[in-house]
Amino acid sequence: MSPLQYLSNPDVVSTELGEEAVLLHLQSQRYYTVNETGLAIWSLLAEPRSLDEIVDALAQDFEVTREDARTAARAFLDELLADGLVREAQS
Amino acid sequence: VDACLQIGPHAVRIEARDGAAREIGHRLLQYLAAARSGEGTDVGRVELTTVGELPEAPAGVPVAARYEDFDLTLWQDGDDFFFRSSLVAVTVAPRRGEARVALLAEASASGDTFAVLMLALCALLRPHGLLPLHAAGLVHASEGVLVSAASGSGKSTLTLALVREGWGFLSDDALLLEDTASGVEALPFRRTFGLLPETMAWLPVPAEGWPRHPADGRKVAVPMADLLPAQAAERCRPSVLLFPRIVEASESRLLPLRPAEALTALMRQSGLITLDPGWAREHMAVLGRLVGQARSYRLLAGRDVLEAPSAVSRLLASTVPPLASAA
Repeated sequence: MSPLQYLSNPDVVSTELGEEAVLLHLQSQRYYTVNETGLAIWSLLAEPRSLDEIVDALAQDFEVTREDARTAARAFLDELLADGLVREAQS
Repeated sequence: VDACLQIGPHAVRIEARDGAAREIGHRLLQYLAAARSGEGTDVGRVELTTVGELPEAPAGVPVAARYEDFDLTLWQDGDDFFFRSSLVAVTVAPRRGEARVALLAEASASGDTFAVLMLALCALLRPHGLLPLHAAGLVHASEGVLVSAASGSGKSTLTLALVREGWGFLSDDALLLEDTASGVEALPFRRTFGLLPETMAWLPVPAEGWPRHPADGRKVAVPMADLLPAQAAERCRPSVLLFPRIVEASESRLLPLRPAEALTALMRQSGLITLDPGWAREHMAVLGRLVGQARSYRLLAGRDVLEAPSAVSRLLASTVPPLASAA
């Protein structure tokens, strides 16, 4: 079976401000601020991405080990999923 | 046509179908204190009618949002909207420039009626690039300073303190933003100031005889641009954003805010932003550009706003970048 993929919810609008971004969930009307790492992950999720693809991108763009990138990405994706900002998609 | 409401370069026609509706239209114009020349480009019309029973929402159209503060429910059908409170029902077709307002007779006594009418005007103005922002607008050294916060954060008192110190002004509470080639600009939306009786003593005008503020019974609605025409401004390019909070302290203080913090604070004061995905994207982008062109601060507003406005004026004037206009 192919790996689980993640995709941003089309009902979430985002604006980048320097190294941060603000996300607005149109249904819940809640706002979120994401930092530089969060913005890097969020930008990837415009298209369906697996956790491995996200980890590869983070390890390449930031000075982190793959293990640390995986821990950070897993935690961030869990928060995004919990508040409906991203969806899981089977490729 | 009973009246024409001019907002920046745009004009909205107000048409009343009966005497009671005409009275509400008159009070709306008095509340906004906008120019009435009708010289602007016609962007639409608002038709007001008094009814015995409010129309129901269109059948089969889903509820888009509920605004508990105003007891307001909103339905969206493509580009068109239907708002309904217990006293008012509004059908708005922004692309056609039409808003039809049905009012119960008792609507004129409710401040929420005017909030709903303002929403209808916002929906008509939005396709023309004008976006609402709950903020005061001031001008110092030709630079715009916006003060944005929820009601009760001391916005009106701070604005009046700065006007008293000679600052120019657009509004103490309601602005429209317009994205232009030279940056985001602010225009006054509601031009009457809502003043508490104790702050009226700051002005060289009679303390009594003003109409009650429709949205806040403790305040009176004062047409400040008529009283102080030399300080009234028609638009500004904001270079400072202030987010006040009243604190128990003698002196006010400023804390710089990160752009993302400023944007979320602005979004909380932007009516209708979550209404439509297409509008929300554009609205957030304009607010993002506004944050990008300005310096943002949390203002911890102390007792000096009331007791030493000149000190507050100096503190806030220090945030205005010199030569920003020449950049």
